[in-house]
Amino acid sequence: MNIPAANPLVSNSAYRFRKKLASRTAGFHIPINWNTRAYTYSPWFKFGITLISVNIATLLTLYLRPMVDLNVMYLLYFGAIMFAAWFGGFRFGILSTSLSSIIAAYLFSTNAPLASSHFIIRFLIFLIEGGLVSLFIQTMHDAVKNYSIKNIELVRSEQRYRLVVETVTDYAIYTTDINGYITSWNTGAVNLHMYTSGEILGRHYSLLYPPEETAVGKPWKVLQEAARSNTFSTEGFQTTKSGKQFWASVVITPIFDEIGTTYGFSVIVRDLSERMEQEKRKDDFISIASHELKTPITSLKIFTQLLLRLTTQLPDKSSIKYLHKMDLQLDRLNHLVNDLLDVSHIQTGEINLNLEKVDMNELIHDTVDNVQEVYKEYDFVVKGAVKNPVYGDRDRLYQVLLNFLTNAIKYSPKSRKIVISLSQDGTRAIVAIQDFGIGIPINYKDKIFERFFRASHTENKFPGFGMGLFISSEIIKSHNGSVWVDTEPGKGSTFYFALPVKTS
Amino acid sequence: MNTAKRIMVIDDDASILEAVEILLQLEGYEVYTSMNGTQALQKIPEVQPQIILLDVLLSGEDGRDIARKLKLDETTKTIPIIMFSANPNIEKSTQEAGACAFLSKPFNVEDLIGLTNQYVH
Repeated sequence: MNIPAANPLVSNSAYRFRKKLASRTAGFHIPINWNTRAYTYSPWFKFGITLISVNIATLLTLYLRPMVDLNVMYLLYFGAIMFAAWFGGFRFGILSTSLSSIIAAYLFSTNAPLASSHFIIRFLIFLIEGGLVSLFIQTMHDAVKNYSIKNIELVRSEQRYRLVVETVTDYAIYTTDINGYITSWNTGAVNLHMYTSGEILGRHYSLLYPPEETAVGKPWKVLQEAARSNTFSTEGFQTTKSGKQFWASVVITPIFDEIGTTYGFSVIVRDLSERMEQEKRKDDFISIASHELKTPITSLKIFTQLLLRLTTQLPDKSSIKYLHKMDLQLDRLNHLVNDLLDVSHIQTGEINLNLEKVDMNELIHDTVDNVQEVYKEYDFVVKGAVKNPVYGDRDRLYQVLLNFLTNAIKYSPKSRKIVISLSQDGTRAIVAIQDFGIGIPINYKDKIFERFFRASHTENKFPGFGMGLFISSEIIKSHNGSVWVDTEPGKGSTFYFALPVKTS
Repeated sequence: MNTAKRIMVIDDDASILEAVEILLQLEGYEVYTSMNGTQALQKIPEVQPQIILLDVLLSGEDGRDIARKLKLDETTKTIPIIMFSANPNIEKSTQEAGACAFLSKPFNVEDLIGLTNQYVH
């Protein structure tokens, strides 16, 4: 569901946003410039401020002297020191202190000799106090400066992120408060959910879920889950303003304040309906293609077997052999088509199981016997037994066993031995199929059960679509079982599968 | 009414229809074919076959619907129906529609002959 950029709804809101942003940015530019200039005074300016402030203090002191006690006079110089320290820092504060004390000593100490202890003590106290005041003012000045720089950076970074988020059109990105009420809404959200920010801000985000999910409280459960596990991603239906539903991926992340308390959530929604549509079309295609392929195979097989019947009645039997080969190749072709069909059914979750009690001991012996018929040169060793039956689809389990056995044969061109072990571990029946073939490189170990995976080291020396292990593992999983492999390159592999047993 | 073993085969693929026809004729059946389910519904009461072979996926029609109609009709409801399909997973649904047996395509000739002979005495 993509709305063209020309949609008046979208472009209007984007325009309004840009305008709002521009006016805000303009408002912030004045203090930014003022501040940056203020913190980079030239040394001459600092020096000038120091001199002027000391002079003003001196003039004031001279003017006020007849009215006020002399000791109070010194206080006026602290004003000058503060000025110098604010604009020039600690060093200029000390300079101001020194100048003030020299001038004060020269102007106001006529009644006491300059070298008297009384004067020196007063002078030292003034010097220390001046230094402390300078230090204090400088620290205060730095703190104010840092605070405003941080503030500016914060505002700028917020503006940057806002702009980035706002200009994303393919993803809905919005925030909610702790209870799920929407606090921000980007252009992508307008595109996806069709609500303008004016319509949605302040409303509960459950509005974007299908009514039946809201009825069972899913939007609230999702928020709880996100708050608990720090992020929560899921796929499901979301709705638009008109009530139209679309399949989407939803990622919800809690937002924390500076002491780590959750105060809201960020929500990112991506429309997956197109991808879903493509997947479905592909699966439908495979399904139809397999069906179409089977029709000619069916008539070819009937004609081949018809020829076989007729040939057996003829005195010359030489062509029977070739007709048998033809028939076997048709079976092989049919298996490949079935695999394709299985993959498409697995993808769409249409794998049907006809569940019944299955004796694994019996099934394995039957399968091994059948495989032995075809691969007479191989040595199959069956070990162990399972006590209880499993509950499963006999044909599907046969398919899995056949697949593991033919795989073991296929990937052990130099060895002739294959060991099949049966065991029971509590409530699980475990089957292991061990070959002594080429093995699997460690880095492929986890991938071999994926769809269409073929280990590249085999360099197409082995035929097949790479679907067998995927199908087998999916069949086992649909039986609530598990599949795994132990392998060593050059030494061989052991494929395991475990199925829950039926004890009652 | 003659005493030959009569069989009705319904499949939308001409090649399969031809192959099955030859095969069953060799087995001594009198074979009637149809590529269309609705047409077959009209022919069946007339032909009164002892057995019906019916494909599931017919062009524009579902063989299971045809089977259900046959089972509802007094004149045809006792005729055994063997259904076949390229999709092996739908065996259950064909039984529910009234088929007595199911063959997944491609099938072995022996299986087809064995099954038809089993239902035609």
